[in-house]
Amino acid sequence: MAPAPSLDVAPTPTAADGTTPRPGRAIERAATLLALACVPVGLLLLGDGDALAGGAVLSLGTGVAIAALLARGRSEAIRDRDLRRAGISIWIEDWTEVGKVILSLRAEGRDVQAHFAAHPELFDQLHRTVRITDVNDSTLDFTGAREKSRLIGRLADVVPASAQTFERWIAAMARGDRVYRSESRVRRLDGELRDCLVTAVLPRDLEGFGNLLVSIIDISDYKADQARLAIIEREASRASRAATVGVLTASIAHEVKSPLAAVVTNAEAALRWLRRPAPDLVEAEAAIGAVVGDALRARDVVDRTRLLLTNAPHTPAELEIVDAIRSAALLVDRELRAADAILRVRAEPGTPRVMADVSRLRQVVTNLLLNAAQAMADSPRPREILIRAQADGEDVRVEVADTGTGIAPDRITRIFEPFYSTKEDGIGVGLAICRACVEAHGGRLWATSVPGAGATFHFTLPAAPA
Amino acid sequence: MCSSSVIAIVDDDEAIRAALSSLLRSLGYEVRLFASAESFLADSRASPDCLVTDIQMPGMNGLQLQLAIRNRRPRLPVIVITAFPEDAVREQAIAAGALHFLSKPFEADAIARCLSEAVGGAR
Ligand SMILES: Nc1ncnc2c1ncn2[C@@H]1O[C@H](COP(=O)(O)OP(=O)(O)OP(=O)(O)O)[C@@H](O)[C@H]1O
Ligand SMILES: [Mg+2]
Repeated sequence: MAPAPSLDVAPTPTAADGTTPRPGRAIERAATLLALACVPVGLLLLGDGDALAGGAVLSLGTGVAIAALLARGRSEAIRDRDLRRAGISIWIEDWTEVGKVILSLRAEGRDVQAHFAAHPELFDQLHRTVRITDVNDSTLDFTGAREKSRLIGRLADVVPASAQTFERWIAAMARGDRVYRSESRVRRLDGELRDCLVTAVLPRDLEGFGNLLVSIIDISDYKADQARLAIIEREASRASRAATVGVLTASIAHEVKSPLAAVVTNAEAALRWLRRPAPDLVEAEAAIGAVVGDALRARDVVDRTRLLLTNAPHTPAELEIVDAIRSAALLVDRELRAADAILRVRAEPGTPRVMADVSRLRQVVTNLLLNAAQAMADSPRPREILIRAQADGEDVRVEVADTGTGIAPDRITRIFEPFYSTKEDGIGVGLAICRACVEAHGGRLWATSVPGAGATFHFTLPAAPA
Repeated sequence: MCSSSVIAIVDDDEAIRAALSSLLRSLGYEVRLFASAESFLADSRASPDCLVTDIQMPGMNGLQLQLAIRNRRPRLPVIVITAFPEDAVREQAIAAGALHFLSKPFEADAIARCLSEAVGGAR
């Protein structure tokens, strides 16, 4: 019946109506419950001392007050004043009507949760019966209300947002939970949103339902600290990525310097052959031919390693994996033919579509196919590459199997390192690029092999939502 | 031209081997090419007047090769070339007895000077 100030508490408890509220008394009788309710809070503070140090909401004074309450235990002597001054917001609420329903269902041996599930209209009906009967002084500070009267009354009116969490309260009560605890956001009367920890010891009997004590602790500063920590962590991981890039850059420098050195040396050699008293044109021509080849190789290194580092936008789209693989395979058709390799692509029945970035998927498929073809260069025919896709939990798993030389166990993880190559003219970036592309999708890429009998590369991509 | 010095080149990079070969031959040296330290050590007829070796190679690297031949040919001049010109590597190579240390890419004049110092000029 109190005119509703617009105070928004995402989760807030309530008490039943009916009985005339007797604020002072209610606070007193609830003292014991408060002591209990504060236990988890006290533990929380002790346990998280470090984390809270930067901006604990509960002052040391509050901790002392709680300790004092705990020490006095169930004593009747706990006076109003202690609760009024306690540094946390305390609400006394009357949930008698809720208690009646729950207790009678339980007495009849009925499944309380099932009953509420079958009668969802009960939530709204019961929500309107819960009343706030008393609040302490801290609650005034906390909510920004000037007088207590603005906070006393029907929960649904005083804290309209409590409708959102009412079901959670009922569920906890129906389950017979001892304690209700949740994090929520409370909008003060001045409009500011605060993060709060809401705690209550849930009642066992009707009297308890009539005097439900709810404590609300402002944890906004603590949350802010957490958020700052998360930012720092992100920064740190970016720094370690930068370190990886540094290592990579050094490797690239090395990879580029070799062909460059060959270019310079061959060019100088050519000049010397030409400057001889009797110029040796055959040698000079060979050296100049080598210059061209080395320069092309340097360009290749730059082009391909750039793929390792670029941050091309990741734009996944829904794809039919088999179609995508077949069209990517066309790009290396010439190489597959030259290697006399036969490619077969198939999907197990029920393979879902995938969410993938087409250009990255193309990189993965072409690099794996080239490697497979190169590994089978000396294999007896038929040289087959089999690509198989299948559902795997939330993912689609793709296997690329060849019948080539295979990979020794001690190399099976090293092959993914940038610039690891066993090939005369290999740069060693193919698999590093594949892995970066797959991981950009949140997937994994790994290899298995029976040395001498072939290698199989496996990767996962997220399935498109059904 | 009858008694040109023999230079052994050890580098896993084929393009570098070929380029050095052409350059050193144009300077009048005779060259022997090896794709690895192991293959150089295994070739019993390899008795060059100077060794030019890369450092970074799969298997035995250039520094290990230097140590391995120190017992057999303590006076063989060694020239080290590498694309990793870090001071630490340079110091290790010099400490292991290398006569010269060249960073890739190097100029022909530089290696020509090193070689003539090592074997007293080609002819
Ligand atoms: N299908 C395969 N069968 C056997 N070995 C393989 C296979 N795929 C890759 N490897 C091994 O892994 C190494 C690294 O492969 P990766 O594709 O990263 O580089 P690369 O093929 O050597 O050079 P490039 O940069 O041109 O791709 C290869 O050199 C090879 O030893
Ligand atoms: Mg490859």
